[in-house]
Amino acid sequence: MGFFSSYIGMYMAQSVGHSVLTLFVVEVSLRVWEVSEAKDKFRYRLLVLILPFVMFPLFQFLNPDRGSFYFAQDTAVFSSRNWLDLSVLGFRPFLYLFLLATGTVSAVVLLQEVLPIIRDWLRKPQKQEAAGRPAGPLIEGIVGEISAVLKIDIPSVFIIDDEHPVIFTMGTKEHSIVMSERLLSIFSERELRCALAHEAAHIVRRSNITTLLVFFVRICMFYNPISLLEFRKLVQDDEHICDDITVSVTKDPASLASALRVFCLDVPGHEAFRLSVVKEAIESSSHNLLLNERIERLENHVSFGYHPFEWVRYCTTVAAIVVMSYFVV
Amino acid sequence: MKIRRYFFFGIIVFVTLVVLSLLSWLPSAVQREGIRRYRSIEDVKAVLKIKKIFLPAYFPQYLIWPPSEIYAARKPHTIVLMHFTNFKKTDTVLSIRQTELSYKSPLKSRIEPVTIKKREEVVIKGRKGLLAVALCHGGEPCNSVSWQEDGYNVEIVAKDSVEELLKIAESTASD
Repeated sequence: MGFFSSYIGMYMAQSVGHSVLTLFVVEVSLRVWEVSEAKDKFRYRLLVLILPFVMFPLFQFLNPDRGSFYFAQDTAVFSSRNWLDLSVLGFRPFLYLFLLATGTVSAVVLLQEVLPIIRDWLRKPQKQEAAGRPAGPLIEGIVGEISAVLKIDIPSVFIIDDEHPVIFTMGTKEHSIVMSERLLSIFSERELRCALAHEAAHIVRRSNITTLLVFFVRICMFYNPISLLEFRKLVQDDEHICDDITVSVTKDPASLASALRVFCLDVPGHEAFRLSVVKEAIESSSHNLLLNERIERLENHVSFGYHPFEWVRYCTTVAAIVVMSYFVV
Repeated sequence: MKIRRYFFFGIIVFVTLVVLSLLSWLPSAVQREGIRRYRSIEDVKAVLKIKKIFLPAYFPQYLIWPPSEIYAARKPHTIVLMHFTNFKKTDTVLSIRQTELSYKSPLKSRIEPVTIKKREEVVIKGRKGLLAVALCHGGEPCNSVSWQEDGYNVEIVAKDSVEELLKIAESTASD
């Protein structure tokens, strides 16, 4: 148990505890304050990832005695050590459960996220722009119109020769939109406008850099199961926000929904039970589930309007999380 | 309507804190092992059946008897830690800790020497001891003396002069 008395050990145990508490308070806040807009939800959910990452070092800086036995005894509301030290017939079930959960999540992050990124980075052609051809005047015209509405610099658009329907935004300072030839051939003009507006919305929101920063925090807390779940919710919220921006520009949610359907994947059948097939089926189903949720949201969304963000409520939630977490060790 | 929401949010925060306190208390209610706080030395003797608890016979007048805090455990290792406050009950000025010889306790005294100025060997009733002339947090003098006796390591830390500390130690060690 010496590890959990060290700074790193305390950070691990407390950041997981703070994540659980923050998640609970954020979910309660979303309901109590009746937060319905995706951009507002995103701000609240960001707290679940960011606050547990920074709170422990901040608290220890303010009060170095916070890690002591006496703080846990006299001042803390909840001490994780009480549970981690709990012994049943010489066996510490909660310690092993904690190690199992954090170990499993660490393995998932390593195998599912870190290794594929390294593999893709090694395989990726270093000059991707050179692989695409410039888009024609139709696309450039649409992008120009959208950029004017969203008040952004007109991004360059490249068409790549890919058999899959692919569209994404590149760059963190100078942006460009990359789409596949296949997508160009199947999209109607209205769908194309929506897809390009959606990518432009990512540029407005600086989604690439935001996602990168959020991903960095998430990788730093590779052992934290709450961060794993919350990161995915954040990415989905970001997509919702960009969908809302797209609809506010195009006024055409039906075309965006129809454009999204193109990205649904075929789920492999169950004839051959192979691990690779099962893995692909799970990934495809999960991908489709998220897309279908967005499509359903677009088809049933009552309002795409905006109202001012309620900062007082937000600050109340942040204050509650910070104060409560201080007393959770 | 808005105020009601804040009120409701406040109630949820309060209930969460109560639930967290209960969750924190629960393991100590089901488990007797580990370091716990005791009300009196009699409690420690009765519950943990520790035969020998080191107590000084000599107390400087500014100390309050009984100890302000007693932490003890029998399993997995025996440890007894007592803190004594000054007469105004404003500050812990003396601590006595006994631990099994084989056990390096993670439980530190509330007054822990930070800056050691000098270490020297002393004799406590014929036993070899180690005196540390030191300063605590904030630069207050706090000296410590430790020795081994009856299978225990005994350490006394006092915010007092070396002479007074040695008097307390001599009165704590067995003949």
